[in-house]
Amino acid sequence: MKTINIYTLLVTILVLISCVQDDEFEVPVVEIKPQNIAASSLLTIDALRTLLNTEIANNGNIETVLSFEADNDTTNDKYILGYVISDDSSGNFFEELILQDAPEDPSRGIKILIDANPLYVTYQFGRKVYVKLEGLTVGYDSGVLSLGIRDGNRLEKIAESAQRDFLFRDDVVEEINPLPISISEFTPEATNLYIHLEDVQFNRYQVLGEARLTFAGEEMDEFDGERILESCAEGTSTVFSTSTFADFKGMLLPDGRGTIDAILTYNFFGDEFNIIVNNPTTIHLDNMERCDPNVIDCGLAATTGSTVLFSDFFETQMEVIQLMAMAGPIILKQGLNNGKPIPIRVQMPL
Amino acid sequence: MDQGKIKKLLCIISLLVSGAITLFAQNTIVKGRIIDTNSSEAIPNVEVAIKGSDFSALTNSEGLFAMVSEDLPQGEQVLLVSKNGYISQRILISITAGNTINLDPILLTIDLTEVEAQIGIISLTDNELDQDQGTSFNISGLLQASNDVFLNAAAYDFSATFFRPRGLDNANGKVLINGIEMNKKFNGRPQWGNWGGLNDAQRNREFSVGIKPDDYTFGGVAGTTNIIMRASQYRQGGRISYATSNRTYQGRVMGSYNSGLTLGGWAYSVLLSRRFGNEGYQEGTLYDANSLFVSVEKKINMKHSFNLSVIYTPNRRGRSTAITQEVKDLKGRRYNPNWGYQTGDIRNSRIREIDEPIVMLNHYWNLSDRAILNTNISYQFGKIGNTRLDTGGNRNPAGNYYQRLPSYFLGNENPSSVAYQHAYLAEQEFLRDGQLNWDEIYWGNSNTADGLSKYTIQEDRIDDTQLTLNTIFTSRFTEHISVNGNLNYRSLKSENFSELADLLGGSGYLDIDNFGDGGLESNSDLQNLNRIVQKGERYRYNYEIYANTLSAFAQVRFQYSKFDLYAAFSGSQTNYQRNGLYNNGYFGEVGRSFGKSEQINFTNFGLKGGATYKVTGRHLIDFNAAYLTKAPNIRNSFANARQNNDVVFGLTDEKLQNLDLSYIYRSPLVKARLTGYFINFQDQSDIGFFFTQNALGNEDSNAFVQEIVTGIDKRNAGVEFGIEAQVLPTFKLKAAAAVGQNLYTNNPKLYLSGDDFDNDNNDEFVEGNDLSTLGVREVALKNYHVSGGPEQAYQIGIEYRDPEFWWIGLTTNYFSNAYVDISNLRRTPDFYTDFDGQPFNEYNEETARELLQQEKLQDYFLVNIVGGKSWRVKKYFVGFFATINNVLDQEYKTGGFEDSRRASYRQQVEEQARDTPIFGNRYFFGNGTTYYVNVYVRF
Repeated sequence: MKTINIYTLLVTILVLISCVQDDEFEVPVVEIKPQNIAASSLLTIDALRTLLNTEIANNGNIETVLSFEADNDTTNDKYILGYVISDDSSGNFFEELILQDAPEDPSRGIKILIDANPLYVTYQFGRKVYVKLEGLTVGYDSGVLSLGIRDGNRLEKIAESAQRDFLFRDDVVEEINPLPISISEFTPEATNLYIHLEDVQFNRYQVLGEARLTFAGEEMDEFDGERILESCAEGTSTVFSTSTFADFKGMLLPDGRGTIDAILTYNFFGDEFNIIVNNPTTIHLDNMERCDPNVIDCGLAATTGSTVLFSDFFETQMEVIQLMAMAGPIILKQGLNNGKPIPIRVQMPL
Repeated sequence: MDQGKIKKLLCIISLLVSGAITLFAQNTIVKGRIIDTNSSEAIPNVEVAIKGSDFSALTNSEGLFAMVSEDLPQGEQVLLVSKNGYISQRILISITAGNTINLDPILLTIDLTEVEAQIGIISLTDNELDQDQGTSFNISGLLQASNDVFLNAAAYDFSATFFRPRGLDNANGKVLINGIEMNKKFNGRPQWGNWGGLNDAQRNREFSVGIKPDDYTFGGVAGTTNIIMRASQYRQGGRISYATSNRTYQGRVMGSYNSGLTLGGWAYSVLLSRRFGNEGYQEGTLYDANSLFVSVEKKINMKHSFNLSVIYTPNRRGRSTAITQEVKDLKGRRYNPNWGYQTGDIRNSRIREIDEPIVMLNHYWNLSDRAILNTNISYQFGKIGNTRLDTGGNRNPAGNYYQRLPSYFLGNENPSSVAYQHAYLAEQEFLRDGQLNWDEIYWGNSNTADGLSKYTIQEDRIDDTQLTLNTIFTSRFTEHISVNGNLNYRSLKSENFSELADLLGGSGYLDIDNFGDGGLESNSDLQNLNRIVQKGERYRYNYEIYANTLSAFAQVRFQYSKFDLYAAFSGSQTNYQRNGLYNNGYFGEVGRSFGKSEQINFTNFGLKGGATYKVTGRHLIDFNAAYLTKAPNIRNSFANARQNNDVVFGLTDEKLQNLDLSYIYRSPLVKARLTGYFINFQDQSDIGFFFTQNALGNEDSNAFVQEIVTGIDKRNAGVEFGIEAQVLPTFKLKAAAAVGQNLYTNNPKLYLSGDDFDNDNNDEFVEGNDLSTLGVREVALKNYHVSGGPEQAYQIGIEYRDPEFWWIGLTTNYFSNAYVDISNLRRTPDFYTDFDGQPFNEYNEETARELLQQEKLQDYFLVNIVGGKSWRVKKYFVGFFATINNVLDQEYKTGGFEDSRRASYRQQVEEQARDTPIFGNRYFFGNGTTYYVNVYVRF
């Protein structure tokens, strides 16, 4: 009996003292409190851009940057307000956060350089974010309006741990309504905006046939995979750029025609417009009726027709002639297939 | 008169009479019964011997013994009565030819000091054994409280610091339970966690030092321990103990009861224990372990006995990791980056869970008075799991990730002011926090566009099912000759896979390689493309290993008054086969990943022999020699087991030679041993796994690789010394030393494997290794030190044992010549080869020599105090045992290793030019001052 009592005691003690916090964890509920920043402390992104442009005009140097010196007075802090439009969860953005000034019909956007990756875990798409300007520097980085830390005359990334000193998330997450725009309407002011392109397709040489390209998984793609995106309506084209670090870089380019929601920006050198998607889900090129130049495939001509459409000895191009050691004129004749004319048959001298 | 004086007197008497041998040859009997002073119960297995002769006997379960022979020495003789745990007796008897002496009863008293020592050693080893990476090879669990001064020092005091006797990994030793081998086939090592917390049920141990003969098995060069966990072998009674410590667990409660052999021939034994703690010496290392042991034995008759034992010790441990000097300087040696707070609770991302119950049935058959056949069957199943945070290709959120440390920002030659600013901010942040932020990780998973998790907890699992059958024959052929033999069969099915342990808030996980290009290749299993995995499901890799071993062993021993001799032989057949259950996207060709691999077969044998020459009773010379071959373990047999069926190129048996010679001195006052040893290894293989920026076989040199090194030759040579002097009956001085050198003796072969080795982008096959581009390279390892604890260890100590049953001991230990583990890749031609296969332009041999210098860790002193007291309160024994380790709070490194990430000459020049290297060596730091206290009641 005594033994039993001792064991009972033991078990009781055990239960009381030996709990180990181990595998039962509460799932965290993260709550974000609204920011209380007075409208009077706000500067629009457009105003910020104007300030910088004025500075640049004064200095006559496009590489001029403008710093907001930090002081100990919090009452005069200035903020900009923006909505997150970049999403680095697929690896297509790296250590940069892009904000635009409104969830719909935006007018200006800005890139924030942050030495942290990934950023989407903190700033998800559509999140309203305030950025305190004091201590930061604004300038053009790769052609687009950017905020960061000053390093000499350049912009550097905000330290990972300094984010909390400069970036303040609000509890609001807006739905971002992409700005409808066409390639011909691209302007420097429209960079850093979330745009909507209608009726576009990838260039036929990149998506049709055997050598269909991936987003950025080709050997020629060193940092970014640059692909040609064409507007069916306008006949214009632009560069669709994908990072070689994107997790969808190995996916094949969609070969249809349709719409794309993306961010308008510049390439690394700041000299050419690029559009970049957060991930392929905003690409809707499912209409298989492409708008390529009319190439009618009539099959191979069975016999040569008699109608000569074009004939030339190319005498005026002596070098070519010598080069080709021509044995006769190049003749374009009407082709015939089952007796029906097909457009062209080329007869090369041998 | 106290015991010491009695002993002395008996010694003198025995010395006087030891020469007296009469020449009469008639039938003479010495018999008797031995019982416990306190319980008045018979004590089995007591050794009774006539001093100075070869005559000895063991008591049976009724406590009876008898020596019957016409050759019994005549006249005044000393009968030595001894059993582990009891105070030995010397009884003067007078033997006359033809007469019978019946000594009934002989009373034996429990030796409290012995009991204490047992508690001490077992507690200590338990504490250190199942720690992380660094100590997994610790050998101290093989040892037990013994009479050997050196081994005691190694077990008690040297074990805390990775010291390995003779430089041997515990894969070179064997652990048996009831005669069944417990070493894992995966890595050859005993998995201590499988019987952790059963200390009180593991007091009966038989230990064979080095390759000295063992009754059960051929054994390994680091020694063999057989733990006897058989119900009838436990002393009747119970024990309750409570231990508290700040090393690994915070508390341990243990209760056990043994019935002893009852009249009906039944015996049972039960033990329950729990070890727990939210944090050990390292931060965030939780400990949650329950242990259960049940054993029932039925003695059918004098010949047959059956024993059934069940061992179940599920345990979970939070792990820590090796850190760089930079991290340690900022956060201290207790820092562990693996944990963080989740809703206010500490959560460790790396949990090791071991849950592998063992059921065994043992049959003991006394074929005759002199021969026993012991047949066993054992079944073990369950799982070993190791979790880790999988970041889904995102930046590692660990506080000590290199891109978050000051050194990273100051990595350029002339850091800008912003770099300094960043470094400062990083430092401040690391000091302020430096841990995982689980809340943010959950937040991140809830923000993905598709709702799927990016961050997950991945558990790497090994689910083994193992069946062992063996039979062990032991016979004392004559007084002088004994024979041992065994026959073993082991069959293992090992399921290796990774399981999604926690989605951390997301709705699923896309099972593709985050470091791949997202195409078909990146799929873990081509049979199931772009699969969304849920919690509890297998993903990433999934394969089985089948392993079978058939082995036999035979041994003969001769024991004479001047000489002991033995010789043993063993032979075995081993085969391994992998069976891929996933068709890995990188290795989609038929048979490469999915389905069965070729079967690899090994035939091995071992030969050993030795002699003990007893110059006099006080001076002994002992010599042992062995040659054996070993099958490589499973871990080192497959080149990239997680992804394909490739067998390691150049895989072969490992060969071992052992020579040791000892001089042993024993007198009533002084015990000493001096041993010289020489152990040679050939053709060892080793596979390492890491990310490197110097994988020349890959286009951009960045790759996750398996580094496969074969044909490694090593030599461990050195001297062990231990001496103990009983200066006063209560006061003992002791000293021990180990001086050795463990060196690589050749330049082994290396190649890398992994899915990044794809030479021809135009064909669909991934080579999977760099053999076709770079071939097998030589690693210039010759004369580098094999890392693994200090090569030199010294101890001096004192011990005081008061007649009032308390004792205290103090030891000072000095350790030196520990070396970090070197990066193999840095010692290959890849080190100086530029992308085009030519040496670097700026390569300078002098600089290279400096860069490749093996780091020797600093020497250090450790002072340990140990003590205890016991009381007898009526029928109860009450006692406590306490140790304080590293009393002076010395800071020291127990081990470390080089990084293979930056493994080229150019990268190393860059690294070492930095004030603080970004990818510096990583170290294991020893504990500061720690304590361990155990209080127990025995009844």
